[in-house]
Amino acid sequence: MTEPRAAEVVVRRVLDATPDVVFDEWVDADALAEWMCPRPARTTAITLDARIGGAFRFDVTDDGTELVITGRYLELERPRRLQFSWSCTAWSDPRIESVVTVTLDGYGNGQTLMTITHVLLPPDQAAGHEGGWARIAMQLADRLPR
Amino acid sequence: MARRSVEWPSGRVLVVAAYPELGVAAGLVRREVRGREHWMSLDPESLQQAEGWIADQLSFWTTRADALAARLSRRAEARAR
Repeated sequence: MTEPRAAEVVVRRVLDATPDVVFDEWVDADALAEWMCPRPARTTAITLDARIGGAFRFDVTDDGTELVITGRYLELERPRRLQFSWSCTAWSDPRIESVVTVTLDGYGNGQTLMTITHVLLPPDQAAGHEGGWARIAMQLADRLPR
Repeated sequence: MARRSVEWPSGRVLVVAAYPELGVAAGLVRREVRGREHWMSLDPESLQQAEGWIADQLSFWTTRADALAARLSRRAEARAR
């Protein structure tokens, strides 16, 4: 039996760069400013501390709507894999917590197969009891497919 | 164990039906104990919320993956010149 999850989204792309280059795109504020908020959305501020447990925050303006995405880095295994928690102020239920896992596999001639897996945690678990959300995220991280 | 039958036009529910405990843990299935019987029912609100979240995040990450792919392709082309 797999770990319960309320919902899961998977997006895959083949990219014209090696996994180490792609990994750095995920933890570089200047790079993120361009691709994490493609037009017409734009970032008004990006801060990140790319260490395990370090926080990130993206302030985004999208079609007149201001939203803030925040999270913490759970795993940073350059160049193969990174994982972080993810919350967005635009979500209707503020209790919602989620985890994003990005895996980067060498593909063809200098390319990378990127797999983004975004898992929504069940509300009753994400609300957190003793130890709270970070512990649950860590447990979930252990169970996610590698 | 008694079960209430529920129809729902989504393949996702088949998984929940096959693994009711998973559905309960995920907040998609309600369980009610009546004496020795356990009654299971879908929580349509949770299910709808999950479906909405899936659609939003699929759109979000598709756009971002496309933007990253375009950025890296531009750089690869610039290097090749």
